[in-house]
Amino acid sequence: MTRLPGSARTRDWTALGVLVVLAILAPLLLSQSSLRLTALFLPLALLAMSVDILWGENRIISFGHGAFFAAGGYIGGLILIGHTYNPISGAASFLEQGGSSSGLDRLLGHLHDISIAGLPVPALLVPPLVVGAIGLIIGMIVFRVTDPEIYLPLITLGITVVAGLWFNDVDGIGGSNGLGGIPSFTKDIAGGGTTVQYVFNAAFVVAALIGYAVFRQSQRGATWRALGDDAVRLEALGYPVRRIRAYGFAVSVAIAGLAGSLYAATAGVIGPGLADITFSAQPLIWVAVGGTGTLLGPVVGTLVVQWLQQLLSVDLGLQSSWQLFLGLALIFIVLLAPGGLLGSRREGILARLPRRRPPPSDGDRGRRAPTTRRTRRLRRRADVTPSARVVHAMPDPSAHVNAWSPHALSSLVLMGRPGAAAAVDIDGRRVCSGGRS
Amino acid sequence: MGRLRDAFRPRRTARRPQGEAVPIGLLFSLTGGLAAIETSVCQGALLAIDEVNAAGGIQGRPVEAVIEDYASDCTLAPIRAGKLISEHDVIACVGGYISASRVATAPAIRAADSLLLYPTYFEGLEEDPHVFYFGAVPNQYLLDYIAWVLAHLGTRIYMVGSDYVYPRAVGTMIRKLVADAGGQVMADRYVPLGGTDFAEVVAEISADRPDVVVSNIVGSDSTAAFYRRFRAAGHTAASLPIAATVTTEVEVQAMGAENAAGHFMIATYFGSLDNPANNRYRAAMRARFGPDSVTHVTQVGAYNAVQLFARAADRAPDLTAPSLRAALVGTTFDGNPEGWPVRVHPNHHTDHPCYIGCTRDDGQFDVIAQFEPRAPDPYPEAIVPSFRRPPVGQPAAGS
Repeated sequence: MTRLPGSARTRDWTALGVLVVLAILAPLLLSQSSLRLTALFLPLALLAMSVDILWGENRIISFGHGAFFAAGGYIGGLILIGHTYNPISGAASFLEQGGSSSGLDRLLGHLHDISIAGLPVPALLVPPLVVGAIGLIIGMIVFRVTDPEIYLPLITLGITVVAGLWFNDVDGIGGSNGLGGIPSFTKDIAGGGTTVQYVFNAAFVVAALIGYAVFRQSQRGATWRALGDDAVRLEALGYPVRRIRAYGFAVSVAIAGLAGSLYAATAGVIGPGLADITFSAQPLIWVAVGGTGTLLGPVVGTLVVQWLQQLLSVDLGLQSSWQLFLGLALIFIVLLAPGGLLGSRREGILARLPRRRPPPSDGDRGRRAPTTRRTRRLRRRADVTPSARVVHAMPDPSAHVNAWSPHALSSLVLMGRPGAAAAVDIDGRRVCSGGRS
Repeated sequence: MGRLRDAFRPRRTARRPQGEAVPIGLLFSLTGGLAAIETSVCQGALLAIDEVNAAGGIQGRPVEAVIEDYASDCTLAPIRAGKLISEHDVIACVGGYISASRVATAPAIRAADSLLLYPTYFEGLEEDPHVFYFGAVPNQYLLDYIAWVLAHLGTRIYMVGSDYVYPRAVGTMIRKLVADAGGQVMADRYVPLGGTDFAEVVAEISADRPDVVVSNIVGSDSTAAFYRRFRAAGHTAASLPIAATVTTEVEVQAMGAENAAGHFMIATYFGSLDNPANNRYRAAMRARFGPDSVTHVTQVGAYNAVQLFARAADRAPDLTAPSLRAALVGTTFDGNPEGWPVRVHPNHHTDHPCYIGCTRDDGQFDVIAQFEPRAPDPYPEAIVPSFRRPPVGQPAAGS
């Protein structure tokens, strides 16, 4: 099973620690308006994380997360406001004299009135639950196809396009105006200033990161990652692949919905523009910049791109050409670090830094195979740590027998330490061996 | 870029007022999809600030423009407005363009108890105590326009608009006005906002053979696509005229004037208006922003907003929001390029005359009819009873 290598685990926790320290320092270092912007970017970072749960681990790309994000924002916004808004009739329908308010308005009013210690809890719980349920239904249907890697982007693209039109058309959510004046979650907590708002959003991002880190290191996390490596093999091993993927999709979408609700409350406004395809493509850029499949990559990528955009367009005054510079910066990142800023595949920027290597011992000299890029990559792909004594390999039912056996042998030899021996047994019979046997 | 920044730097004038500057926030998109139009709206406000300073400023103090760019992203607008108020201490913000930007910004303005001066003509249906509206609302131009269309162009009307709050609201009013006058709305079609596929709509128009097409399509791309498609289908202004509510000089310039030539438009301002105030305004715009600068209705709204605000602030006992709000109501400005003194009503809306223009080959409009101002009524309940006015003090959008 694809376990996270020990070094990656340590790196996860170290990086998370650094990020938490930075997050704590931010209110002391940033001006109020910069802090407000950062608070607004944090839900976007959460959105990027939800995209990467699918993309980085499972190689499935979703173009629809903007729509789920917007849906969460609308649901959260309506609950926080407490009634629907229809700009054409000029007034919220609950304002009508005669009390003919709709059932939806009454429900929103009830949800609006519930709060625990000043915190409007329904606006935090309902959006991820509703959006997650929608995601589960979609996932149950979509993952029945044979190649979800190909079909899911197309289907989610369709969802985005339809959602954009739908949010514009549905009664009571403001049409093209969107919903304005959404109160923030923290308005009744400790004065409800910018810093409180920032801390609130940062707490969600940190909690999500810790949860995700724990998941990545768990058995379920290993299964989820293995699914991205070879779903056919996992299905042959008896895993309910479709169901796992549908659940994973639902969780990812639910996080996007929660992020949407946080975003709507932080910005104070939500509109149909967020279900636009240009917006749905943006999390993919943030994730690519930060590094797919890395724990912190999506969060770092989002903050870097969003702040770069702010600095270029507003602070440096590149009013019309900032997009060009942003594009150049992205190309630069892709060239220098194809795996993203925090790329785990040793193609990230961190891997480019010179590192000390232990000098080889005398006995190994001469016999050691030259470490080419290819061998390094193969070693990285190896499922086991080199220290394991016995490796139980499972033949790949999707491959031809004569295709997997030399492959298995070569990987075993390569990943063994220099001078170590490796052998492949099938049904207790040694079929091939290599190294010093 | 440097030139663009320079153009936005307020100029010093010879008779510079003394004292600490009074900051006014200008909240417009200088980047993103709305940058072109909003930059030109911003220019109207900047010109007015120059003129106010030349005339002695506010209470003897110079006015300073603080520009914030919300980058065509309405979610950024309230944050930028908050920054203007909390970090730059502006006494009011001029800005917003599309309705969504106003709906997004107004709550932030309300929370800080400041003022928003909104320059665009829009669907109305709103009276916010913290917002002043320097564009017209539909009752000020639709009543006269629809009566004129029915009398001069015909009674069988095909209506098409973008799926957007403004066209939906205006469409509802037009249906009522046409029905009351004994006309017929044959179809009322909406295309997605920003959509450019008008094949079906134009095919239906060709089959239905209405007397006139009423267009509430918004956005340069959509408007251009519709007019081009309409012309390509063989319709001319002589055979089947379009009567538009949102096809200004900006849209005509974007689509190429030959596509709109001969079609009609209603507006409270045309660049071609021949009156002393507008002649002076056009000359001042060209002197300040170059010979290619265009003038249009929303830009004039921003210009009037600053002029009226400066006059009110000059008379106000102090520069706090309640005093400014009280002083603004009833303030009049005679130099309105629309050719009629503009006055702020107690409902925070303003007076506007209206003109019917026929598009010329050069992209400007020939004024063929003009009407005196009607009092602004953002909730024209007499026209559409379902346009309910919320209880006093209860803003329509959100809590």
